[in-house]
Amino acid sequence: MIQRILKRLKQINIQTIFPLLGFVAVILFFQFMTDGRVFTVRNMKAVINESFFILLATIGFSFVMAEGNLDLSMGTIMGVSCVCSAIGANISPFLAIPFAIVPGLALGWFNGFVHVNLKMGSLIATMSTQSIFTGILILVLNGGSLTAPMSILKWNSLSLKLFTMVVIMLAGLYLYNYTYYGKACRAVGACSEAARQTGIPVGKIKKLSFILLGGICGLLGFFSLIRTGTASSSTGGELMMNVWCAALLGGLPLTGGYASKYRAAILGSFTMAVLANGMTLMGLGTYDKQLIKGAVFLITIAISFDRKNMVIIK
Amino acid sequence: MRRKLMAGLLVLTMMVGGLTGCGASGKTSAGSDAATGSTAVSSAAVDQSVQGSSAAKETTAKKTANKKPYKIAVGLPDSGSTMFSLMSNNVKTFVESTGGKVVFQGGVGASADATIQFVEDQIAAGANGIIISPPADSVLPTVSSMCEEAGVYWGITFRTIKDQAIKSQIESSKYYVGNCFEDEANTGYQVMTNLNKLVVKKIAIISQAKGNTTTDLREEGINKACEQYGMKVVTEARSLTQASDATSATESFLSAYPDLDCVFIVGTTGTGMHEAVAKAIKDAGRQDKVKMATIDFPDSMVELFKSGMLDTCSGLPSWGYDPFMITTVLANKCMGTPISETPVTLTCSMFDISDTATAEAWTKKFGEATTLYYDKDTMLKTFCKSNNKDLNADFMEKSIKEFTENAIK
Repeated sequence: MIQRILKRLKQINIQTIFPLLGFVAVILFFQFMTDGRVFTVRNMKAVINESFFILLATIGFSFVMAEGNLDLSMGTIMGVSCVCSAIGANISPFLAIPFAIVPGLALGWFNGFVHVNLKMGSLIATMSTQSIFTGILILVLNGGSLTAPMSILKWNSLSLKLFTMVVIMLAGLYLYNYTYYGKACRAVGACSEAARQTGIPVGKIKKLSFILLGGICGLLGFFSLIRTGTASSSTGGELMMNVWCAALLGGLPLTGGYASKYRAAILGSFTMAVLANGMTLMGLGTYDKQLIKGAVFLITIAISFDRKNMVIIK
Repeated sequence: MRRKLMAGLLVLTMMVGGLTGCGASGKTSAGSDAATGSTAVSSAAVDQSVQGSSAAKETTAKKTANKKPYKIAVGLPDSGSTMFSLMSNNVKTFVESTGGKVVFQGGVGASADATIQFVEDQIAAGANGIIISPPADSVLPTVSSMCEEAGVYWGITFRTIKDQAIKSQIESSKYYVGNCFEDEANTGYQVMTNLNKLVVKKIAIISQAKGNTTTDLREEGINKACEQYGMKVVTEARSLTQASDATSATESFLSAYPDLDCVFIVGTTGTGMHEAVAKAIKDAGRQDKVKMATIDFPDSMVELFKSGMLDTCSGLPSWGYDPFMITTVLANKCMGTPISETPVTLTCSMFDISDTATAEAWTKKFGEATTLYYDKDTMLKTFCKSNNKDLNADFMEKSIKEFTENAIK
């Protein structure tokens, strides 16, 4: 029995479980260093709020990344959606949700259209669209900000966020691992030409992923509005970097393909949130935080990435 | 082996991080102590007869030491430029002298999301008091409800509240201690009045995004002066964060408006912006025709006046005085000795500098990060309610006025 367990343990690849070990290590470290303040109710609430935006966007991003694509515009999509949501909320609070999600889906479709139909690399395509969306945002806001009716702030509840998180996590898990679409995303990432020759509609699959990510960013625009009561040109400004960091920290390769695991998005997001929260609990300054975040990021990726199929981590 | 080494490095990084956090306060405290007395500014409001008495000092220290420990989180950076370091040194000196602890975090006022996240994190981290500089009024109800729910006191620095509905809503909360801000509209108007005397008519402005209450108010003053003096803001650039952006904006201003009279930096969060604007004007060979004005004294103010590039500027006696004053209000509330039962509204007046000599005098006094606005003992005796029964909102206003008047004497 013991021999069997030891044999099993030997078969485990450290690189596969390192993100999980890293996550557990980060939690234990901060729990110890902050005299057990990580697992207080109030702090768990802060961690959930901190991870909410990163987690949802990383789930959407994981489909795009599985195809070997990138999206630089997700923060701006969230900003535009937040503004549209504020406009809707000023007409009727119940319009805030569709006014956020529909523009998100539309902008996501536009990203997919530019990438697939205009045959531009996703990096260049979304770099261009990011600039266009930012321009729209500034024009609509006239360089300022838009305030939502204060009544909308009461929707900002932890239970709604938890419910949304669980639903999207489970839906993402099902979509990614158990549907034709999820498998097709990874097939496209592994080799798009081979995927095309096996009958996968590569263009449609790619567009769908951008639309999905756009829709999630739209939803986040709504949640940002009910949290802050304001939409400005800086809304969503930090989302892209946080999501990229979470995805890489969790072990999602930029090259996409079958090495992309759904759990990486979840682990990376929570690790990022716990790391940021733990350093705040310890009372570290802005610059100490940056230093530690960068070092942990670098070391985790150096250890956890599987280099079997790549010379350089990409 | 290599993986083990890497894992070891990861653990080491975490430990270094932990030690950095633990060691910070001690180091700062020593630094603050060293500064005390060497560059102290004395307050006229303090009873001079008590100052020399060591017995009284001991009593003051004992009284303050009896207070319960507390923690304040300030949503401003503690380093990065002289003004940040100067502010954080003064705030730390006061808070630590009264048995408290203070943490700083930069980037908080950059967006509504960052402000809310900061408040939430600091509540979870056990802060008793929070100071923010909100990007817009609309985030305040959320901040207020979060602080109320957690029983955490909070205050605002650098910002007034323009929305009256929001103002009355948050002022009804017993956890809101008040705000300290500058007379922004009047400052904008005053700089324009100075520029009018220099026969400036066409102006380009560099400012923050619309919706920022500070620059919005400054621009209200600018617009008022424009109407009164027949001046005109012909072009603008907003939300610039890099010096290179300021260079590009100024180059565009100068090429698009050959008859431009002035570039006015109304508000910026970037560093090196003033130098970049001055260089762009000089490189275009327009330094004789195009004036330069700014609000908030830049680090390079003396050099800019000496080179003739800067014509007029207006600022606080010290940029960090505003957060320092609201910190004293919040700290007293956290210690259980509030200076007022209702929220206080403190206004700091800005003053003009238009010549090299005054710029040098100001820099001599406030150009060092270690300068203390008041020596440690004066801080304790003047701004602790337990030591100064007269401490109230009127006393604070009086102290601000005296500090401003004596700033460059």
